Amino acid sequence: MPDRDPYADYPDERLVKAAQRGKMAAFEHLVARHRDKIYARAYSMMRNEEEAMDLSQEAWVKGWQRLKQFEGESSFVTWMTRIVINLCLDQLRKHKRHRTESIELMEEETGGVERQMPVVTLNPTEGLERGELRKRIDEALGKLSEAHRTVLILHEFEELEYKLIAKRMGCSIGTVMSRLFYARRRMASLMTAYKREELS
Amino acid sequence: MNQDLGIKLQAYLDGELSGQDRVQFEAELARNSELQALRRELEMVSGMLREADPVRTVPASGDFYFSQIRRRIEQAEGETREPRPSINLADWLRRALLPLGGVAVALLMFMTTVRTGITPGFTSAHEETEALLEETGAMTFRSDSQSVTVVWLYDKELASASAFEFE
Amino acid sequence: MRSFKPKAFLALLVLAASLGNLRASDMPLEALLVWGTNDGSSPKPEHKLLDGDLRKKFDAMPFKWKNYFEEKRVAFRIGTNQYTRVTINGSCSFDVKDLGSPRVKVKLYGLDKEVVRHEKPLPAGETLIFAGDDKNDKSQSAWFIVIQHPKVPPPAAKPAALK
Repeated sequence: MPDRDPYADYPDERLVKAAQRGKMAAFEHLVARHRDKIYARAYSMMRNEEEAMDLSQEAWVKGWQRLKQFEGESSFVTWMTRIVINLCLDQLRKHKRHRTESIELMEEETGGVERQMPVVTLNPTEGLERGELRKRIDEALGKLSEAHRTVLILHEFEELEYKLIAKRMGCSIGTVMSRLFYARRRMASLMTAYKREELS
Repeated sequence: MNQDLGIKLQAYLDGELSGQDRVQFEAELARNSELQALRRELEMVSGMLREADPVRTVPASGDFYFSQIRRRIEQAEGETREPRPSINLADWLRRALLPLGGVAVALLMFMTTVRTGITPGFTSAHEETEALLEETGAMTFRSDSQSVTVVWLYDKELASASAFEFE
Repeated sequence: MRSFKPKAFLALLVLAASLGNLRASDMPLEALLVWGTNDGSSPKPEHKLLDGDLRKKFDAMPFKWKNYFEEKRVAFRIGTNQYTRVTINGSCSFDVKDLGSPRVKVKLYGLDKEVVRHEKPLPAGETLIFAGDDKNDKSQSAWFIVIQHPKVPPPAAKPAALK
């Protein structure tokens, strides 16, 4: 009869301590437990399966290498999420080097937002069960530009304040604010459009 | 209502306004019905996103995913380790099929590699444009929302940017 | 020494060949030649007003033209091992290859000279447009070569020329 896996019931804190002592099997459990969340964050930023796989795996490698620096100031999964976000931001910066301009960013900067998006009064989430809502949000996020999606994810999902977002994205606080404003309004507009399609 | 006021509302809702700015803005919000409508919209979006952070599942088996991580760790640490056949399909195929003939192995390896996504190297999602004529320039624009990339070619002498017009 | 087993080898080749078919390396694409103008109609009767999803995409772009006319459209497939040549008209053509992922590389030619190369991901639903002013019309109109990977592949089987 095979021995029961000793790590199967450990909480994260104990797994982290074991992994910090070099136990790869404990680290494997942490990966198994949180890989979907880390991958989902990478995917939400990169919108590309291959890149998300590569960056999420790279994040786990960095997590292993830096494990001794983790002192429990946040939860382990929050710490890992920060690592994958930083890797995604680095990768997105590399995308920009090829000087392909975003039309959405240009529209935002010329003040196209106001004209194009009347205030939404219909509640587009009413009547939706969570799985369907998640799917629509994911679809809508995919329609934003990289910059808008990134600022929305960092603020709404990772709850970072403007100053930290500006630092991570290498832009001014004013830019963060205008991108976040556009991104939120665009999400409202997209979600309303889905709701209207459903009702018609 | 101008965009600046909308952005200020956003900062207010996000707790990024303080002191006198906050007090003054609250007074403006109390008397401005357009701002109040916009507030409902922004709060609706934040509420919606808080409830439903998109979820995704890693598109590979757990064993395979972790084996890739472990290999990278080992490479980074300069160690080598025998791959476990039950996890690494490419290695298993190489060992199992080598006696049967090099060409067949190579063919099957290629087909299986492509099918299971064990692709060597990493393909970035970035785009690359290269203009090849001295007299012709290229500007590349991308709209993520429309899934469209436009490569606009122009005569450098005439330097025509007049194709584009933001109202 | 292990003896060679012909039947096993043959079975393996058949398996490899069938896996090749399953891989279906051909990517279905569509190319269109489109004209942008502020005129209400096109001088060529064979042009038709651009409509549908593609028209919506053009409208979302920051172009200055009010009307777009489709001159030609063709569906074709590309493979991974070599470039497929698509001829737009007497002076313009492009070569396109599937790099895998799906990612394509396109080389655009004008008057037999290579003008520009572009490499990008081109999954289903994605569109690439090469464009420029129509010099013959003193920049009052523009040409657009649209290459798209349709979400629903149209029924075309071979690389073809737009004539």
